[in-house]
Amino acid sequence: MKAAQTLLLASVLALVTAAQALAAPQGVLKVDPRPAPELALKDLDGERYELADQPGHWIMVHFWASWCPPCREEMPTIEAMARKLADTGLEVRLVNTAEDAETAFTFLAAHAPQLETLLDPDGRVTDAWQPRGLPATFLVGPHGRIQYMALGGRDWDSPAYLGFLRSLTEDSGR
Amino acid sequence: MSTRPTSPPPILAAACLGLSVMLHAAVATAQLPEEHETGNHGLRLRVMERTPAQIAAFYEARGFPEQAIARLREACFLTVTLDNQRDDRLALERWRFLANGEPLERRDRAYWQTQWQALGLSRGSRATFGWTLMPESRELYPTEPVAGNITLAPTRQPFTLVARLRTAADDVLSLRLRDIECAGREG
Repeated sequence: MKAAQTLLLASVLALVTAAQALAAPQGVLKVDPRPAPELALKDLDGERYELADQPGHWIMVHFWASWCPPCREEMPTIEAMARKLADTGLEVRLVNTAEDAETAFTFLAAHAPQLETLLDPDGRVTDAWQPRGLPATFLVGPHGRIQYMALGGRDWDSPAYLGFLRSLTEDSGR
Repeated sequence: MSTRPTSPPPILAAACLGLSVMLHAAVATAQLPEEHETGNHGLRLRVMERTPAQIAAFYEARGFPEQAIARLREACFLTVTLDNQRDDRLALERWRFLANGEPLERRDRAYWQTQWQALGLSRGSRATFGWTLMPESRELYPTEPVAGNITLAPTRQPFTLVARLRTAADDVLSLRLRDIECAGREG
């Protein structure tokens, strides 16, 4: 009886811990899940990428532009986060909005040299995702649905955001 | 509550979508624009006057053609930042600009679309321009900032900006900044 009680308590504690880990940090909103809009673009090397071809894991889709000051603040934190969470299966996919390849390349070389970006030269893909502004971040779940969005620039390399993202990937792996 | 000039606030990780840094950098040798700031009701409103030279430098650097730059130089540009520091959601209902109690003529998105269509501006440039404009209305989440440029017909009169927001409880919040000017239009 005592063993059963201990097991029950442990289970409850585990559930509470998991729920806490999944709480979105400040500025990250849980949204009603909706299918991610089409995202099929080329990167700086001309390689084509399609979001629809990447099911089964979490994807952070991040829209940015070189003229946006918060993007400049946020980009190094995304790079650091991507490095720290490389073992989780989280895919980080940047989309530059309506700038040319040279501008995007120069910006990333200065602010986040380890990151690569897709190019949305005419801004059509960005429009389809309907961000509230730039920068804009969406978290797409393993079934291709947008489940969270971030408001403005965030420090993705801080413990609250790292823990949250890690918990998402662990949750989907259970 | 309006102050001019003010020093820029600290840049936050969750910073606004403002264009201040790059516009300051765009014309490093130009005289810094006037800045105005006020805070009330858990909101912070900041306005930076932009000179035609600053605006031209910014959009030239983004590949805008000469004809488009000429149109941009004709308008009065303000970079506006509104930061919701409250823990509730707010509806930003409208911006108003008044000189001697009369509303000023705006240069809204529809106006610019007409200009860009007439000039055959590329879709990419139109997209960039659109993202640099301030939304006219917006539901602001807790801690959410919103920022961008607001454009007006040029005027030499000082004017007042009024931002009006509504809470979920239907209370109306109003912020005012006085003595704003269209920069670089003296004489």
